[in-house]
Amino acid sequence: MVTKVLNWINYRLPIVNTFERHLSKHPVPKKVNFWYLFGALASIVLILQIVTGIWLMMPYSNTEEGAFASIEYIMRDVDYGWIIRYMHTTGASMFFAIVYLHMFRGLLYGSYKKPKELVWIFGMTIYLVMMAEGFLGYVLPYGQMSYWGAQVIISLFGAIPYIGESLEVWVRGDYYISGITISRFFALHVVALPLILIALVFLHLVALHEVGAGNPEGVDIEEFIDEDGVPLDSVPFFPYKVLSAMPAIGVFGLVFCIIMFFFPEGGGYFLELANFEEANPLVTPEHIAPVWYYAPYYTMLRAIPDPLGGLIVMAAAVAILFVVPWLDRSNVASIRYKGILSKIAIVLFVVSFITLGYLGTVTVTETGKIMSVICTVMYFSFFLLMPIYTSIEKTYEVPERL
Amino acid sequence: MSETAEKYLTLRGANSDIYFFQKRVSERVASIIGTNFVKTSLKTKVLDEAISSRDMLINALNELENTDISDIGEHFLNVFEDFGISAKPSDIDDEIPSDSADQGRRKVLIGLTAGFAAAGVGFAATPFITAWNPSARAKAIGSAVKVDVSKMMIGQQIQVSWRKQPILIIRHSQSALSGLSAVTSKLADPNSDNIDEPYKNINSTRSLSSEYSVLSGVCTHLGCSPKYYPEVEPKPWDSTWAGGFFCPCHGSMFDLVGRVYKGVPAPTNLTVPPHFFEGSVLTIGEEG
Amino acid sequence: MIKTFLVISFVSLFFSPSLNSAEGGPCKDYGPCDQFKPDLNNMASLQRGVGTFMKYCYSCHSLKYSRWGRVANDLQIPEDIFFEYLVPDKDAGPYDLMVAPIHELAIDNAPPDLTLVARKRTSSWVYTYLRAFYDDTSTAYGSNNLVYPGVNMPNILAQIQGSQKLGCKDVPVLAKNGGEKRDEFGKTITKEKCGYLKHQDGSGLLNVEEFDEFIYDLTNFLTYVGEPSRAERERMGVYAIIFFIIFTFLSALLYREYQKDYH
Repeated sequence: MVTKVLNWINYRLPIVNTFERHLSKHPVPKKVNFWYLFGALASIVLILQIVTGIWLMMPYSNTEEGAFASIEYIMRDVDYGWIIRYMHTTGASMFFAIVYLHMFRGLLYGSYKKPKELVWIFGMTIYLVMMAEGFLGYVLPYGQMSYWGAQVIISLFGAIPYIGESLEVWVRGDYYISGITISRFFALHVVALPLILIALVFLHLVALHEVGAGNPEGVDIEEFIDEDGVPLDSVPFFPYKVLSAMPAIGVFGLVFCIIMFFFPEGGGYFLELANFEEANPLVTPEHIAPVWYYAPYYTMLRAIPDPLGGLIVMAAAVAILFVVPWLDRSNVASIRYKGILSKIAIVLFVVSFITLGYLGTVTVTETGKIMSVICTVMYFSFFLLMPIYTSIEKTYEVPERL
Repeated sequence: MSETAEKYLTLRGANSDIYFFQKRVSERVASIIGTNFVKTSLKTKVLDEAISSRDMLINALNELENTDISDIGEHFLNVFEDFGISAKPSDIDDEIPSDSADQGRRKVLIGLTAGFAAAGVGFAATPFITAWNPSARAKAIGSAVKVDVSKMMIGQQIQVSWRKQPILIIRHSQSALSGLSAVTSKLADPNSDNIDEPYKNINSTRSLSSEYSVLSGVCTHLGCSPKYYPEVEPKPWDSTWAGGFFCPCHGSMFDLVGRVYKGVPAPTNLTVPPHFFEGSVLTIGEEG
Repeated sequence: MIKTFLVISFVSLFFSPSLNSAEGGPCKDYGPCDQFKPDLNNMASLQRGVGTFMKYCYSCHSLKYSRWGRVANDLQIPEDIFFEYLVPDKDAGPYDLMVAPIHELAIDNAPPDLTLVARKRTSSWVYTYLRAFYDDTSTAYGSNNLVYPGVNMPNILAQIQGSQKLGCKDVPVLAKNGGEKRDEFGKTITKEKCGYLKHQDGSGLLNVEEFDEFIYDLTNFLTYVGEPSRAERERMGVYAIIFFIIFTFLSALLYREYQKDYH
């Protein structure tokens, strides 16, 4: 009976074939390391964010008078509303943490190398949309940090010559961040950007399945295939890949629960203390810091004394990630077989990125200011010098098989 | 060697080229060649060589399938040794086939993990389900309401709102109450046997007071609000109207204490909400 | 306006000295805040805390996001006792918010709502602040606060705490390496530093330890009311963590079992 129904549908819509091709029988490299688990975790967090987000939409009020109170309403009056909200706030930070690790995996093992350029570009676009999504979501509680964070970010538009000032007003729809700003941010946060995000994730995965998943050796497993055309060094997605992801999901759930149930504020990094006070357009909090996941870019913004210059540098820092596939001239993909220059470069890159992140969350000092300029230069050097150091260094021979 | 087995005899990886191999041979052969999986490489990257090497092993195993165990000769042992298989004819009989033990362990683990995950999903779903319950704010709005009914005139009906629903309070005259029994024959359920009546057989008003009726103003048919017509006079819907409630939506009729007439769309009497009287103060929504 | 804001924020960010230094920390002139460790399962403490709040704070400060019945229930106070002795508004029901008409008067410098004060400022700040009032004749109320200099609020607990004055004391001089400086006999070199709280013994209803305990209970209650589900959250967290440990263990076993197929 079930088979009959399935056949009927499959004749008209190839769900079984698609399922087998992209899920159950999809061949994945048999030997990968933990870096290759973050993609699966990211998709799980995305689903979690969508579900908890839908539930939070129900009691949330997107008005100037009601937004802040509705958050406390969720935290107190809605049965288990606090769990759902903490899942969403913790999920947001975890989403970024996972995506940063996932992106770093890409840089480490050359997950952008031909023919994976599009996979990388879709991924970077996802990251860009996520940053916008995170920002819009952070404004919705309409606390002090929501208000002043949004104030600073929207003011960035003001740095654009000629149209800046009117653009700011246009984005806000008012002369300050008011109810209309919240309700349009709400619409974008819960409908527009999630739709785009889901579409991009779909494209990211389709593109990936077309060219095949990578591995830490940078070996092309398609070179050796058996009589059925299945790569010799691959295992089917189900059950092997699913099973390898499960302990990772367990560990991730453990970390997630420790944060969510015991440190939901993340020491002020996930939920900032000032955001427990309703927005007051007349009083700026003493210390405005972005949430940790924007901190590196925020530091770059601050490192440049001119607002427009800062905005350009910040935008360039994200934009440069898109062209990495064409910056890397190395004939090998994985860091394991790249030369010493690449290895030094990536270490310096990590150091600079983490330092930039740290500096973004603390108040500026004289040394901090110098450090942030140095780290910004280091950040850009990693990318801009990449064509040089990847082409002059001596690489190691890559094995043929995994 | 069956066809399916052939399909799995593919080359896999540098360290375990004969992937799945052992799982596809008969239990008898499996027990002869030992419990370990074939873990040896074919030691070549050339596909043709690998296939011929593999075929050699298949042939050897096929022969083994058809020979007497005692006949395992040097030839077999040499072939097997190449693939890291140690044939041990001595202890075949008391050896439990490795396959079934493995499968058993897998089944247990799958069952445990899946059951555990399902329980986890169940717990995780709880907040999402309970979040749809009325919140504390809804409960605040839905909490009991108080009305002072001493100012009501005899025969008057007032309407109060409890949980955003109309509650009808009627102060009956003595004559109206004594006239109730006259319509009993026209009622579908005069003693409220078909519904869960909270204050059954206490007063003819169906409430906790001998003078006031407290009724939910929601028609039991489709939720319209019946209107109060206390006059005893012919009405377009009933020429022998003895006073009561008439629902304008679908013409359901109720008597003065909300009992439903026969032959109307409404199936049951109007319900009586929980209430109690403290002197002349009526509290609706709470038991005394 | 926005441009000026941006310029000001940049300028202030670059040239203001670090806000995180000891003097400029959240507890201001007091120095580092006294650490407060809440005990949300200590019902006696929370019950004393809500009593103190209703008696001394509620006449000015509301708890407008919290509801009476929830507090009574969470703090295990029987509702009839709670409403009779603690709730001033006799018409208030269990689902009503903890706010009175007087709190909603639109006046300048209205006393702030305190529901979230322990979350916004941290419990340690609240605990330190409430114990850092001192006599200061230069202010309108005759008192001031080390944690919140110039606070626009009278020292409402003065009778209980007694009088505190600013005084000086000898503090060790710190060497460059962060340790205490010593003279050639090994004795710590000290210098006099001012701006410390000195309590006048016997001037209040409670002695210093009793008053600390008294404020502990009040702060504990404010911590509770800032996040009433916190105790439940931490209880549930333990089960969630146990669940994931077992799940990880089981799925790791299963993974290793299947890994044998291809390793």
